[in-house]
Amino acid sequence: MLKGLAELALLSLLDEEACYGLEILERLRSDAGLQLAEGAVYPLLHRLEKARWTAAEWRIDPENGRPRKYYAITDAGREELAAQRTSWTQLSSRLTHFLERSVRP
Amino acid sequence: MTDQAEVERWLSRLGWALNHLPPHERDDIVRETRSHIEDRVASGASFQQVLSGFGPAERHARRFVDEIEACEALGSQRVGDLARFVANRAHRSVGAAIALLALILLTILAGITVLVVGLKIVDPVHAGLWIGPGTAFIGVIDDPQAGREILGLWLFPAAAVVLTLIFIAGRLLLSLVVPRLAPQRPGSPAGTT
Repeated sequence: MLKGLAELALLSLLDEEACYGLEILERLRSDAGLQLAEGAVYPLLHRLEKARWTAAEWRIDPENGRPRKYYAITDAGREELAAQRTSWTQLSSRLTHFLERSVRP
Repeated sequence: MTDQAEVERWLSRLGWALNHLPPHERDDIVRETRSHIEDRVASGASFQQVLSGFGPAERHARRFVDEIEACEALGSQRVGDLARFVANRAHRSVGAAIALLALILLTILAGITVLVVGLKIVDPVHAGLWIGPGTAFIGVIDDPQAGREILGLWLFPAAAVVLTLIFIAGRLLLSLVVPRLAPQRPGSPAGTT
């Protein structure tokens, strides 16, 4: 489940702005609350790039001169994000409904 | 060994473990991992901390290979790609091992069917589905007088039906198993990993 949620959260993040790997990892940890291992995000990024849901380009950071690979969502990625978001919303809604059955009077 | 040398050695092992990927993909992964390590160190972490976060280089490489294989198998939907995907996970997953065993049995059954068809073409008198006193088998009989061959030329369409059913069963098995072994998406029925 975590892998799937990481994919959804990642696409959602990239829908906001282009990011590089470490930045994505930190934001998925801090903002989305996903406990991802240090290198866990890169294989996922690689697969999404191969699926053409993201497009990547190397940029030089103007502050420190280090190269960073930035990922941006593509139109196909946005379609996938919309499908996954709908799927997740339906699932979480059903699950919440199910869990709340025991606390109803 | 200095910290920098240790990082270089780790990155070399990563590149080696990814050696069956196209060179530009492999180099890109190594370059991006190096960039990550440098960023972490620049923000105050030690090389040791960063490398231990990644774990062994071979395990990190394995994650890429798993993702790529899943992507390719699910993308192509070819039986060969799907079967290879299952076979590559059989030593790490009970479900994949059972599926692989079932695929092997189906393949053997298909092989036997093809063999019997071949024998029927080469030796139509002795090959077929034989029923005799206390016995019934499909194959070659030494003495055709000892039993009765009940299929005749119907063996060919029967074999075609069997092969079609084997293909459908294998395809169905792969279509059920592969999505459960591949990285899950939220809301998918098998999304419980």
